[in-house]
Amino acid sequence: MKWTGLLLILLGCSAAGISLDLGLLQSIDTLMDIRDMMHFLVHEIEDCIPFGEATKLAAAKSEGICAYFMQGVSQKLQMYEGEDIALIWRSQSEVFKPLLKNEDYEAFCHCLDQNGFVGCRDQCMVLNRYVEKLADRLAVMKKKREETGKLYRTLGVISGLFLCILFL
Amino acid sequence: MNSLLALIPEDLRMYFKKALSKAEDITEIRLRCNQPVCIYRMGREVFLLKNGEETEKLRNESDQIRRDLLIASKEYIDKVFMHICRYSPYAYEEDLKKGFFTVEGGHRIGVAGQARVAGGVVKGMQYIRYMNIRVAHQIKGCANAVINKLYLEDKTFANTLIIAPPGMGKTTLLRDIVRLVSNGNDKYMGMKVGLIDERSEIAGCYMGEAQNDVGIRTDILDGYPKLLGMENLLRSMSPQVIALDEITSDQEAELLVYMLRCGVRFIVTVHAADFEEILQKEILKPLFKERAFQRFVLIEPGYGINLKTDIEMKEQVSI
Repeated sequence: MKWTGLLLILLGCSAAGISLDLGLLQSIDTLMDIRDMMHFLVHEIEDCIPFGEATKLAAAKSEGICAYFMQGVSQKLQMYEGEDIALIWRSQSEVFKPLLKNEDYEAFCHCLDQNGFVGCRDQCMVLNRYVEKLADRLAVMKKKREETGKLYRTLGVISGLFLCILFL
Repeated sequence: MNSLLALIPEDLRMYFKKALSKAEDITEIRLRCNQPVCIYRMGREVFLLKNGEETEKLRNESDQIRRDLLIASKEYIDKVFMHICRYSPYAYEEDLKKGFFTVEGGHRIGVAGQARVAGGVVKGMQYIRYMNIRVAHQIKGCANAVINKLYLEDKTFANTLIIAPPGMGKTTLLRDIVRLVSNGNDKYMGMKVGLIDERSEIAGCYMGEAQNDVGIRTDILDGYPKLLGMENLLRSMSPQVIALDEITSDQEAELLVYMLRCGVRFIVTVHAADFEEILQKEILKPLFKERAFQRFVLIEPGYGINLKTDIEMKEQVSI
């Protein structure tokens, strides 16, 4: 019984460490999906396709939650009654809230705040600027994961062992 | 909700709802920065009031009506413009350089503002402060009276020139002729029509989809320059009839002459007040020389449609 309990403590602590690492990995994966989705969107806008259609086409090329997000934006734009597209984007962005860190979520929410440019180039420039920032952020997060991933897992196991010794 | 009211953002619709519920006779809606909103109903000018009613008279400034007029502010015009473009003005960049774009329903939005100039070249338009919503009206059947006279004895379509001064309904007539030629009738078989709609006026295409009925056998090249369009149609769509609006250059006339020798029939329009005036047009001379046209349709203000064959024209004036 005692050994079973200690084993459970050890497993629990290790799982907590792994979960912290996986949380970081999930954020990175989501940001990578967002980066791809934004590439698809920019590509459509470069062809001067209006937002409504561009989001629909980007949704078809995206996967998972990004496809769901773009579909949502596209559908809202189809039923469009005059609200600012930035507001539609922001309200729909909520689906990413549980998956992203707060600063990443805020940056994504506001990436379409600047809109209404008469030139395709200008509109693409704004979105590309976000994509560039995203790429920088991804690089930082990947590096952070390399550095801290092992640390979280090791700390999980060590704290488990520490608790086991303490209870013994 | 009609397609016209859909052009107005939801929070501004209360002002327009009543006026646009009777949209049949509306030809234009004018928004000018800091000026009253103006609606043209078949040439009659009315101004919109804040309570949604209309008034015909603009009295002096102290008048109550003047205070009740709905004024199109800068923000208001921005909002309508962005709503009409669905927050994608970049998608209309090229059209905006020409000063107009076509939206769902086939309505044409004319805009005016400040030129965006770089290196002495106009790159586009910014600060759009004046808008003209030109309401699309397809009058089906307006060509019924002439359509059967536009065919030759061998039941092929006659090359036709539609002549009228600006604003007399040339494009409306052309659109209906295209529809009727394309669909055919009991007497004449439907024909494959290639329509070059350079300014999206005839078919009123929105995202490539025709908003007006231009017939079941019509292929549309929307937004194409006429020269390139004619070449493309000829190569790719094997049209029996090519329709285009307003010949404006010598090259276009020359290409029409070339098409004559390819066995393609055509319908074109030209700005002129009467039959004599078209003979003065230099660009049409190569076509007259080749006796290209077999039917001349003149829309005369107050007199309606006057149709002449090439033989009748020859008797009247020496082509």
